[in-house]
Amino acid sequence: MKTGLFLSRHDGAISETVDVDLLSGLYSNLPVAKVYDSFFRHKAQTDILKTVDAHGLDSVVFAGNSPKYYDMILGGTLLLDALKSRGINENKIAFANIHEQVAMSHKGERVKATEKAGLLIDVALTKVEMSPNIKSIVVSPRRSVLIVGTTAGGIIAAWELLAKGYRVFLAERGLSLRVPADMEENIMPTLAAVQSSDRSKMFTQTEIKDVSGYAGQYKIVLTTPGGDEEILVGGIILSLGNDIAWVKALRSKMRFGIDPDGSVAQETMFIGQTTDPGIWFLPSGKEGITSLADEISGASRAVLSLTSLLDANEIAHSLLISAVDEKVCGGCGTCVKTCAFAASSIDLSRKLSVINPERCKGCGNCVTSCPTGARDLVSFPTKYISKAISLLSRGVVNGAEPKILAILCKNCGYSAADSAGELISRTPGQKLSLNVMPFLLECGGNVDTQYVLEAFSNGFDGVALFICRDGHCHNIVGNTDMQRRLGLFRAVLRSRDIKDERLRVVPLNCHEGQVMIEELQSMSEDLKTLRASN
Amino acid sequence: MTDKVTVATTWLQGCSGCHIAFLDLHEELLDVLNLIDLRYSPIVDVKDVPEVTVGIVEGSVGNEDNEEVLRTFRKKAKYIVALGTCACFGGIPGLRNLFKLDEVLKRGYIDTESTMQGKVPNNPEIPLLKESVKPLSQVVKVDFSIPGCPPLPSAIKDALLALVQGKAPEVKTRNLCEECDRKKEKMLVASRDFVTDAVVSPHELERIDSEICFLEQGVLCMGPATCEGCGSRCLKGNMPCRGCMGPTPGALEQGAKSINALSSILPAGGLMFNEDIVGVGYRYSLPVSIYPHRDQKVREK
Repeated sequence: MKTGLFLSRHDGAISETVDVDLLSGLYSNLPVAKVYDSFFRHKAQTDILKTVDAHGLDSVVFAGNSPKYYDMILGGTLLLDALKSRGINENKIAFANIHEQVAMSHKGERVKATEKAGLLIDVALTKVEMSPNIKSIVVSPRRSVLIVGTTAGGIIAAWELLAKGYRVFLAERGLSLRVPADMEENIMPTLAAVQSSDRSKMFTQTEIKDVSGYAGQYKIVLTTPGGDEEILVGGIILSLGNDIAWVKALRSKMRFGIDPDGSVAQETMFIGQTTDPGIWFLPSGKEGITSLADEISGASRAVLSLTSLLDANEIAHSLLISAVDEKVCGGCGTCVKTCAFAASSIDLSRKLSVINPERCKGCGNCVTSCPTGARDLVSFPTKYISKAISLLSRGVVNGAEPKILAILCKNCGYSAADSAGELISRTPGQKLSLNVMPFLLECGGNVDTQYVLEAFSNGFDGVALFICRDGHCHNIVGNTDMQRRLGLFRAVLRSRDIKDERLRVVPLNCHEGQVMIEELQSMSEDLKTLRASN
Repeated sequence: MTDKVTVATTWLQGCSGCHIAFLDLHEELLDVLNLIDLRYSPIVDVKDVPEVTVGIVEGSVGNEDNEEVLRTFRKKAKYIVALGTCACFGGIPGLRNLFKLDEVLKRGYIDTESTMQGKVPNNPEIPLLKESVKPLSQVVKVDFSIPGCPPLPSAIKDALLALVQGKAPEVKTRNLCEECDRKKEKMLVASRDFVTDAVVSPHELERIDSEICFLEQGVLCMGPATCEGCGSRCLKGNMPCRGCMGPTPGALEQGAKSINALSSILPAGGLMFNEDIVGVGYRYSLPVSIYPHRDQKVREK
């Protein structure tokens, strides 16, 4: 294994607090440990790629900005794409977030902050070391798209897709269009043009009953007044306007996040992009999106992005759950009961669990619920998590500061931690204990109670879990399933004389850094009191 | 006699049930005894442990005498076989790890309802209890394990026959559902509904259905979180699994894993009020679980 470590000064924003040059010296055992002013400039990127080639690196750790940041700026996306196109597996690229989680949070504490940054780098190095390559299925994309909801933007998107030679299906829950009166004059002729095409089909009073498959190849079952109808498409455009109820109903069928107001959330820098590359949404109904011009630009953006994906000869779909370990699975059915996406079933002839990759979203809920440990989440293998918890348990401050493992779900939890860092860096008086150790997991559903026990037995005083608020989990039930498990688990903790204060669950939204800071501060205080009373 | 494999057996902190399971081979015992030379055992009158090929040890390590005997066995035997759940995982005696040693002694010698003016004995003749109960593997290297409370007689025989032939005994690793013949219906339906509305004890059922999965009858069964290898004998006897075969090798610990699983299957509220969660999940495997001792203070590093 040849791992390169790249550290960023972030033009001083990191290096004023974290001694990245010192750190690079500590990792001289690696083939490469190099420091840059920023990863996102052309010169640095050229050098990084040249270094990867020169040393034949097969894995890379970036110690710098939050991994969320790479999705939000072009330079980040392009850098990661360039690495993947060199054959570096997506699971062999890891991030140590020493900007938001260390430099921003611990200004003026250079020595300890540098030590903490070192721990986060150790965890990232462990991740690339212990994670297997993610395998993928390659599919040939279908040049057809389902548009859900007949907003003005949806109709424009349909027309643009037809113009590009695509086949289009429009599905509308209600009877009438979702077009405001002032746009009707422009939209009705467009609709007529769409309907006159023999490559289009429109369904009204129609519900989406089921969606399976992945970008390039979705199978969709529609419930129409005339009965169920199955259609095959390569991509999906959601144009639901401000129909929050419909957004909610669709969330258990396909995977996308929602904003605090309940509308579909934008996950990257591109307007309309969700976490599923085959599903785009139109921003109609969002704040400030009111004019026909807005509708057209939203539709064009989605059509351009989706068709550039589907025009490719092939799309790779990552398989995020490991194969079932046939040596331990006995076919009990727990995974079948757990999966919110109906991706698990039992092969009765062999008494083995089977995962349907067309339905699996890789949330890890079944990995947690499986009582035998027969499967693993490829991007967060159990062995890596155990190792990482033991690394982080070292802490950086001895004595008075309680050690807290802050487990962050990939969506709201992690983003809220980034926002906490930003808040601390610009607000005098805001503080976070150096002994709070942030740790990313896929989802609340990925939090195995075994990990909490491991954290305590490794010496953590407390475990805090930051997850999405009710109804906001990307995996629908990850947050609520975690709460269910912890409800039972607390009985076990009590029996072992582990006080309730040592485990805290905090549901929050992506930008609620303030909530996170306050919860961690009060938890720290509780743990100090607890320690004093012992 | 020289070509027979020499064997010594002993029991530590256990109930002798595993030795009884050995005797439960009945006439088949004669086949086994034709192949082995039993040099030392609680049922053989020999004072010192001789050098043997196979040392079979029942029970967990709970006091200083247990530890000394085990270490002697390790020195004298080429292979150590952990016989039964106590030897493998700590078993029932391991439940005392929920308490501190002084609490255990106080409860045993002073607070017991039948005791008047009791006191904790302080006699050098009596081996001192250790701070916590340990399975053999936490004290010495163990070569083979035959779990079960008690183990199946046939499993003991099969293991010995394998050792006589110079092979490693077969190790079962899948969960008990694999061996269980009960029908599952609701457990296999991809729906997020719990399989029952309420959690009940077997005696609360009007009729315990002998053909349907216990979980689907609302009865807590440890089968999913338990290793196979017992022939699902409790289930054949129309009682749910209590988990004596210990966790599967894929799980870090049985208790936490059973909680993770059960909260997807049965109504969590019912589970909390109906049963003693610790007694369920950790009944046989507390000493090998991740957070074994409640006295474990937060470490200062």
